[in-house]
Amino acid sequence: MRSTLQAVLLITLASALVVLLAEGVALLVAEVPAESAAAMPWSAPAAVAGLVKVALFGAIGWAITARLLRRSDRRQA
Amino acid sequence: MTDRSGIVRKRVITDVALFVGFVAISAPVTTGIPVHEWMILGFIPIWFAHLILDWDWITSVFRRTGRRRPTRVRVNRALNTFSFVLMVVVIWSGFVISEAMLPALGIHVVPTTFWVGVHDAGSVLLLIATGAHLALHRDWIKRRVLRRQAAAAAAS
Repeated sequence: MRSTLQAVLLITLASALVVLLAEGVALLVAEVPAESAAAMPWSAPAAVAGLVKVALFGAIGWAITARLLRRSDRRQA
Repeated sequence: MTDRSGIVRKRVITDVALFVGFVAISAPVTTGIPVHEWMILGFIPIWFAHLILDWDWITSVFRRTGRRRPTRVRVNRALNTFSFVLMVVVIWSGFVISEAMLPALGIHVVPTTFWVGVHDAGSVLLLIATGAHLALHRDWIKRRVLRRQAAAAAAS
């Protein structure tokens, strides 16, 4: 229980630190209002494309890591 | 059920929920922006649970031992740290550009190109980092899937 509380506290503190750093960077950048994303209409092709994008980038990360792991295992063997 | 298998079971349930939630939340054009934004309220506790269940590992890899750790452990630690920072930045930038959840709660924010750019680029990097995270844990995932298949075969 104590260790869970400690974990929650530390994760929250680390998150707050990251947010502070990101906000610090944002202060240095000129902010321009962006277009609304919610105004975009929903369509089936775009919905499928959204899932394909998730699978594609996930697969890229997986493939690169799997290749590096194989190479590292071969070197160690 | 032993304590050990209880923890493993909790881990599997949390990780499956985290994976499904992450895929759904990473596709805002599929779910629509309002669902994408409200889902984060369910996603954050699952993500915290994922970190808490592996807290012993997290503290152990950041503890100073005076010895160089194996490459796989160091890569895992670096990738997980990077993913943590990305996750925080992506979630925070999502709040800052919120067009459905925060306005519904009476908080109005003006999305800016900086935060939209950070959110979009961070999300793509997080997808790649998650793919890498899964690849690093593929043996564990494989073991869980095989064990589940064996248990299902024994039960039938």
